[in-house]
Amino acid sequence: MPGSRRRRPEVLRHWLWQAVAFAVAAALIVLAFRATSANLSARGVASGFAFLEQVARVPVSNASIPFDPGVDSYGRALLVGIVNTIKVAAAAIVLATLLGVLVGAGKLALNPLVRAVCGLYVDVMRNVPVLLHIFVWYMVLLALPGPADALQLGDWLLLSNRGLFLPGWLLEDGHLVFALPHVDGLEIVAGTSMSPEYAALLVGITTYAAAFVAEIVRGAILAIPKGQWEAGYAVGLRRSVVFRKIAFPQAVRSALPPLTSEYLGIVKNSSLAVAIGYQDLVAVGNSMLFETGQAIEVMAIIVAFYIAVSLLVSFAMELVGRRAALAQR
Amino acid sequence: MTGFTASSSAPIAAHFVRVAVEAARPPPAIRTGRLERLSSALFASAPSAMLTLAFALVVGWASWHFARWALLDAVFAAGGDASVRCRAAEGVGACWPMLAEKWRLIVFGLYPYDAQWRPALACLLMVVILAVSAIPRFWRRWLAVVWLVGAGAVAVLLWGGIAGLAFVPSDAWGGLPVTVLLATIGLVSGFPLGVLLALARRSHAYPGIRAFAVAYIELVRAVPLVVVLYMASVMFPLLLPQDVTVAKLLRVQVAIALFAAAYLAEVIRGGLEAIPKGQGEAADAIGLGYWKKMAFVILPQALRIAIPGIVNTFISFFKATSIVVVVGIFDLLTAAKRALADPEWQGYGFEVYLFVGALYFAFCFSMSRYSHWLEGRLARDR
Repeated sequence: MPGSRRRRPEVLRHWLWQAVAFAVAAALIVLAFRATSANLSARGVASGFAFLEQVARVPVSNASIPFDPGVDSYGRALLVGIVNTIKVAAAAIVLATLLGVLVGAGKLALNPLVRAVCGLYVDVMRNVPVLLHIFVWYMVLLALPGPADALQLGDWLLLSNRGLFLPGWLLEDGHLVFALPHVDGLEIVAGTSMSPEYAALLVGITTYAAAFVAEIVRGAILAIPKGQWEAGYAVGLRRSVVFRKIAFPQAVRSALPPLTSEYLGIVKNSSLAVAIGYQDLVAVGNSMLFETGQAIEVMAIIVAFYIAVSLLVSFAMELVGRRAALAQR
Repeated sequence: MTGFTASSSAPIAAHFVRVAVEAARPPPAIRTGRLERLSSALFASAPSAMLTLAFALVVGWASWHFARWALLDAVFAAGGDASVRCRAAEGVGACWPMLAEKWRLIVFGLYPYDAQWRPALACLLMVVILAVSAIPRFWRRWLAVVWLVGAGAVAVLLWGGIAGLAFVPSDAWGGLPVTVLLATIGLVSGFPLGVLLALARRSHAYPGIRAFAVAYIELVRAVPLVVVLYMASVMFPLLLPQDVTVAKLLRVQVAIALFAAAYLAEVIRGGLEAIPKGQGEAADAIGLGYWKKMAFVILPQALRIAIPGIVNTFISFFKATSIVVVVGIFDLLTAAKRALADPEWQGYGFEVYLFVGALYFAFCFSMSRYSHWLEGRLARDR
């Protein structure tokens, strides 16, 4: 066959090109590696992950798991950073979804005032950098009164320049007690507390991402055939019921892929923590990198973490998608 | 089912059959006039009316407070003892003289004060070129020449060193020009790599190269920009021989370009996937080789489809470049923070952030409107 005779050199050429490309890439990597090891040995840095076992000297603020500088290791410091990243990203995903669904539904409301306000929200929020959101909220939180005259909302919420305080369970003398937030001298005692850095990051990311979630939700609902709404009205359901019971459940399915990438965006945006001094993984890694000089190892850990999270979130959303797809049968 | 129908069909049917003529219902109220339609929409039902009332209250309260802060109780007159008058009004009204004092620092950073007309002109030039490029009628070959000439002019204006302009190193650039530059150059120079990555990801003849493209795209897209910027500013110097140094702005610019390439690749891939298979087969049939097929048949169509997506990528990078604050590049947001650090004018964060936010908003909102318009237009053309 003439076809197969022509194919052989073709395929051979393809492999040749790929071999050339890989040879060039490998050469670059080797060159970079040699320059790096020369640089590192000039600075007296031993490469490898052994530094993770060494004792970290610099404290990590906002640690959500116990961390003792001078006792605990660099590895544990990174773990603190990972926990902090997950804490802020997970909360922001939940809050941005709730706010985004509300605003997205509001943009479809019959009431023109509601529609206008929600439209304004989306336009204003998503057209400025998320970092600006975070800076503004951080400024607002730091400008609040001190603990002595903290703003109070009933018995349940205390707001001061030390952060946001909510009721929660507190470990006292070895057993859990339920504690309402209250001022004790110059300190605030509360079951649940958020530092200004955490709160600013959380609220900033949430207000920004919610605008995008709102647009995703709106787009997904508009993509539902009109007949679905009309069928709902025909059996006598009210608009709000049609929305909740017919339109929204179907919209979830087409909203899932863009939502997945929005959620990944939230996880990535949580790294802006470093700009206001919240100790997320990137911030911890960054200060560690200057302390130990292990730039490549620290960066590798950070990159590996984000890839793992990105795979995990995609997988989780895939599972949700499968459930949503099955639910219709 | 059948048993149910048999036993109960008669009474149900009787229930639905009219036995007498119904009285005519009154005609629906005629709603003409904008105001009447609006009010009937605002107060369509009791819950809707309550919602209207609640929203009106909140909006009214917020606008009243904002107006009082920004206009009624604000300090306007600049000069003289403006900073003292501002201190007196602190916490009550806005301090606009602060912006009059600081806007040059915010917009142009630490660029030599007397030469700031140069970044201003460069900025204007970039905006004009972007605006011209936005018009589909001008999508001709000469646009590339305009870009080249424009890039040269911007470089001369910012760097100087020739034509009687004093040399200004890139470390001294700042503010809006840096933000526009980082985003524009980042996307423009990331674009060729983005096209190659998109093509590589779809090439079945080269599985090795495709695997590399997939790995690059997914890796870059999984990682935050901050991490890439840290790599550029901390890790990259380690990869080079010791006597080689690269200016920080350039390193960050290259990092943004490499980062943008992965995002552009996905947008372009979307465009490529929208092209019917027949187009490629037709090109094969008339004997075009791979690169000619791509350059003359596939890419012109695919890129056209991808343009709204590319504009959206540009918008997100325009905002995302604000992150360079963490590696000490003096962009718009960094300059704003610097303006807030002056003790004489400390505490007027809202004014500054409002100003910077308005600048970002003006750029991003107009671009997103444009992208929306273009999407509709391109969809119509096809």
